[in-house]
Amino acid sequence: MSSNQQLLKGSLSVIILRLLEEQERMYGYEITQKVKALTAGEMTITEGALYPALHKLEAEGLLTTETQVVEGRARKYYSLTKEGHTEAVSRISELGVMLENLQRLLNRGLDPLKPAI
Amino acid sequence: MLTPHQLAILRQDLRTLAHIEYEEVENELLDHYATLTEQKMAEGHDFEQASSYAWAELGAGAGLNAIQRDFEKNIRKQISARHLEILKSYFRWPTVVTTVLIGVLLHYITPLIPARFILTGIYFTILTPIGILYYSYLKRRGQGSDSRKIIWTHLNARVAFFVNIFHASLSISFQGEGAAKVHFFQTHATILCILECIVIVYLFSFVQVYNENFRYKTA
Repeated sequence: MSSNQQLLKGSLSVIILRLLEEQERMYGYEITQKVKALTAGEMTITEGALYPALHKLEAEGLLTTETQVVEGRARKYYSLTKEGHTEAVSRISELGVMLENLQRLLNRGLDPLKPAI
Repeated sequence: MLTPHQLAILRQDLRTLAHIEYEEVENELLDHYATLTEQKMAEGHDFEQASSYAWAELGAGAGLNAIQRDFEKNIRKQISARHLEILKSYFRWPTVVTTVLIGVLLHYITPLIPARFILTGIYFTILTPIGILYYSYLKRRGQGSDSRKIIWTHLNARVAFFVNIFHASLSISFQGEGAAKVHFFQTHATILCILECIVIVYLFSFVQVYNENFRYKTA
């Protein structure tokens, strides 16, 4: 697994919540394509990671589902619950703070004399 | 757009090559598999090639089966957590005090009740919750919800163990005579009564768990 993929796996639930914040409802394949498009193909979500993450978020009550028949097959759409909206804001903010701190640490690592801001 | 026949082929792949047995998982994966196949067909491949590429991209049989295992694991986890929650809600002080009081009461009235009445009563009260649980199962069997299949397997394993222990304790016999025999019977009936109250509460918790809806239900 590449480091990109490892980072992605760790923050997959936040990515899903973020995407569903922007778009009211999405289905599995659509989420994988959206991530691919937004990162210009740099990051891809495997189905083996996506569905367990979606199922977990659903079990936690953050996502709700509805099934619709599209082109002769059942398509399961995921959307945020009320609790999911609140949790999305909080998790995105937590990840943002963590990334900020990580950036500070990494930037400081490039120049050992430079103090952390 | 895929034809119904092509969709049936893809569904068959999921069932036979990835051993997908839960309808909810199957429907979700079929949509993904079909969309991926359509995308490959749009790139110029025929159905055979497109579905092969899509299958490989999905992680083939092992990868897809892992998604199903995760689904099962997740539901089992929810069932156990909920079952524990229900049990905790039952075993509060009113239940415990009532159980002990019934046990003490039975201890004093046992010598006055004919043995066969006590045994009939014990069997009746034990079999009633099992009967209700089985009735719920039969009533909902046709509905075929995947989570219910998993709940039933989970409960079945536990109920069988508990009922066996209970049955073993009923089979204990005493060969003594006179006062010792009465005393043994009195003590045995008291302990059984307390155990029975616990078993009834435990079995009713099964009925409650079975009748609850867990996530992953098709909306």
